[in-house]
Amino acid sequence: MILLSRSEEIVLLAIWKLEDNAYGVTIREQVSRDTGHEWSFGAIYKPLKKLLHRDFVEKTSSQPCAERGGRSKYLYALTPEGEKALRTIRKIYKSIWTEDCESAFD
Amino acid sequence: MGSRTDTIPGLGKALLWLLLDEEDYHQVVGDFEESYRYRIKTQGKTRAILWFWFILFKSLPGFIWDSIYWRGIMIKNYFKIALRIIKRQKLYSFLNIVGLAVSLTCSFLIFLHVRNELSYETNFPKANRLYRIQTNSKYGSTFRNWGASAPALGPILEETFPEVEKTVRIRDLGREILSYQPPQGTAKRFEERGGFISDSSIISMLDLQFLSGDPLTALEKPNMVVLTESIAKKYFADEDPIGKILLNENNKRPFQITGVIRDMPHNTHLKIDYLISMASFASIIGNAEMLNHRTWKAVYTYVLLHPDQTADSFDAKVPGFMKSFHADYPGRQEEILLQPIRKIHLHSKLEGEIGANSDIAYVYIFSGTALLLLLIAAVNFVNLSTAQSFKRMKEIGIRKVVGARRGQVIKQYLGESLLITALSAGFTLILLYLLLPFYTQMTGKEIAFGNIVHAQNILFLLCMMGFLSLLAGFYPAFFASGFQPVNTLKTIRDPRSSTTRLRKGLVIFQFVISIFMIFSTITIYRQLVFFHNQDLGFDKDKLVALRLYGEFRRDILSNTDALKTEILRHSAVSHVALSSNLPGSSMSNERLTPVSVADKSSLPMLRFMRVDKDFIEAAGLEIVLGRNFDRASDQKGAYIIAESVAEVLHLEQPLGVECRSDVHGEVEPIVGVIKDFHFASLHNRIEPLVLEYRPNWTGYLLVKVESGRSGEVIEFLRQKFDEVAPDHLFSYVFLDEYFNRNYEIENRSYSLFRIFSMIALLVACLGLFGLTVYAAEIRVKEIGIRKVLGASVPSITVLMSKEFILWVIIANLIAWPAAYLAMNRWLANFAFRVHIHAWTFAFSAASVILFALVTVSYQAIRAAVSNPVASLRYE
Repeated sequence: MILLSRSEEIVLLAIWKLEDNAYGVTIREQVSRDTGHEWSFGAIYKPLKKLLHRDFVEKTSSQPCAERGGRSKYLYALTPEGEKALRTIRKIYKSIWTEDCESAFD
Repeated sequence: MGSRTDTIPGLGKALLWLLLDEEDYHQVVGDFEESYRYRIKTQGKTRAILWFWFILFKSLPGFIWDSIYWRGIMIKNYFKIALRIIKRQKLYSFLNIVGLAVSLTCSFLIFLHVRNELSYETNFPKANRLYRIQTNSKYGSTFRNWGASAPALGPILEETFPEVEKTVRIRDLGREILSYQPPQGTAKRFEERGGFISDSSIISMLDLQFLSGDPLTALEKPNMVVLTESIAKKYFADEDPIGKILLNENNKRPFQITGVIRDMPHNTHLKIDYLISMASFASIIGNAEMLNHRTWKAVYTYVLLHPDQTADSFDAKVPGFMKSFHADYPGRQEEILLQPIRKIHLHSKLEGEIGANSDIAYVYIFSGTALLLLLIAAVNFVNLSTAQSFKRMKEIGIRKVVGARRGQVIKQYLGESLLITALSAGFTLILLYLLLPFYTQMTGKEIAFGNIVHAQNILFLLCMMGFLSLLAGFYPAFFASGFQPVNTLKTIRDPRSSTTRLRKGLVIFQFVISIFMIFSTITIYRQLVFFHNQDLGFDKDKLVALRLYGEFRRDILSNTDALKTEILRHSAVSHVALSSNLPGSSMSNERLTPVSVADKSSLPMLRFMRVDKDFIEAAGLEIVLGRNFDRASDQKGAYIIAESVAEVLHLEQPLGVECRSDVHGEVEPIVGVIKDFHFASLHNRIEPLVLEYRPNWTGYLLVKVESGRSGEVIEFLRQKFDEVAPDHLFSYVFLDEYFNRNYEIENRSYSLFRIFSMIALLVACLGLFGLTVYAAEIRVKEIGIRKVLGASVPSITVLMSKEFILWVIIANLIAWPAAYLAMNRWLANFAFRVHIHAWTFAFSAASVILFALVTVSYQAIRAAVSNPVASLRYE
């Protein structure tokens, strides 16, 4: 079984939260908001490509839009495999973060 | 749609394009652009641009990692192909790499030199606030711009100007002979040139680092001296010098050593070896009042401004200040200005500089040369790789058929040029390592290889590499990536395409540069020969000058005749004379006032030299009027003036005119007039010179020696001196060598230029050679058919080489006017100069054509004598 890396997990969750408006710009903003520091595009695209490669997300091309200088954008969405991967990671967290640990590090 | 101003910077786009594949590129640029526009709207343009570059650079590691991770196989393939091509095309790769490495090496050495020139005084932490006082004076119709200023000035400036934090006065001691007498053994005696009398403020102004001694008191009292580390080592080896006594042999004055400082950095105009306290000044001069003198240019005054002050506000107050400063000297026309010390080395040519300075013009010339060398090598690269890409048409065709986009081919080509430049950068390092000793010898600057491996230098080399690989790889990349796959696979070879014209243009360009440089080298060389051979109006070639000092000088001057007859006894010696200065050094600035003139402030400054009765004959000067000095009748002093002096003083009958001296105030007659002669370098016009009969004021013994016998005479003189004064340091110079030191900058530039112009020509010929090889390959069948049909070897050789030679001739026509104009401008620096002869044109053309001919004809003849069977057999 392939586990998600931390950055992949963060990006994947951001895409899920953004529902049908997940693309480069919004993902970067979401991730930066979630973690509290600014991520570069390089830092977004690296996990994003891996997620695509493993079929955890899929992309669809949009209409060209003016604010991107007439370029189209790829919208990302979770695949069932992606959701499964998130569930797996959640299960693992639960088992490693016992109640003792959580109260100790909160 | 958005206007052009709200798209992201093009350079950033190009960077992204290089790193990302096509699909990602559009996405990422889209993302960047959207966020960028949002930021322009909310935060303004500048912050948006800053944000863009910040995020871009933060993104780079991710993108680079990505491109290697996802495109690893392709990169491996590109690399393999590139290495195969380098291996298969041995000749082309060799020419490319060698050409690039040689020019990179040269431009790197030039970079080192230029960086050193520009780094003067930067080792002083307060350099940006330090200024030297320049004094501009007007005397009648003559101007003198002095680097030196009056001793009273510094302290008064410090009191009057709120801008000034501190000042220091330093006085150059010139050559002195110092000695140290250890408790046991013999005295150590050396001639020193780096001595200065200085205020103690120099310690904090230049942040001198004390190794021992107390910086606060080291220059406080009279007769204290602070030595640099290397001077201390010279006299005291491993002993502790503090408290010991150094003796000035000239005046038998003892100095107590109160401190040892670190050696001065090599890149400063203040070549300080030892410092003597200013409190000693009065006793050395013999008159304490002289420290308050307001017109005597005796010291250099350096000023430290407060951190928040500018030179402008200082300059604005100068006119008012000078009026009160010179209140007791009505009619004196003088102004002072602040000269930043960082500008002294490259921009200053004042009266009485501490040492010879360099010139900013040579910094420009050398930087230009470096750039031209790089261009020549880049042109080779472009020519050879466009020529070569015809051979790679099939590879590119297949790549495109299989799905490569144009961008990928371009990136592949750029990557290859980066690989080649990286290889040549490697060779550059090896070449540097080998060449450094010669370079050190040539420029007189010590550079160790270890010092080269330095962050800034490595960065420079990397930048050069990047610049070159883009410059050289750009055109071939776009050219080769534009091939139509259909054509490439059909083996339609069209050697006469548009690139031929470009290649022609580039080769011509290369040779224009080579011819330009050769032309310049010839002109510089001729000017140098002129410097050395020009008739100066006096005999510099046969004179040996011996320095007299201390008690020995007094002994000799009180009884010159005995020594003179003793020396004249040697059969090779024809004259012995005395003088105060040597021709080629700077002469004293004084005025000569005919007694009939009441107001001397309108009189011009003249140059003065004190001599004895034998000087005119020994130097071979020509008397046009009156007589030579004579001991009996000129007992009380007399003048012999140059013709130009009579002119500037408007003396129609100069003989017998009684004149008063500025310096000692006595009245003496003019007894003779001599022809003007070049007592200073040929850079400048001849200034009016006055010779005064004052044997007691001299310090050099001039001995005229029969040519070819100077060695034996010097031995003879050494013996004689040892007999008379056993403890005397025997120091001599040949006057012609001494005089020619004035041309050191030109000499050095010539030796560098000579090498660089040869290298430019060599690299250009390497490229030309590559192109002829290529042309011969392309035309191999044509030549075969011609030979079968009966063409002779010579006719084919001519056929093959005439085009190239034509290019070189065109290059000559372009280079001549440019070189002529540039060299005329350079020559305008010199008051006395050569004219550019027709044969300079002819010689530069002939040498380049000859080189090109040899390069081309080797390959042309090889093609011509080849057996047509071999070339035609294939079909």
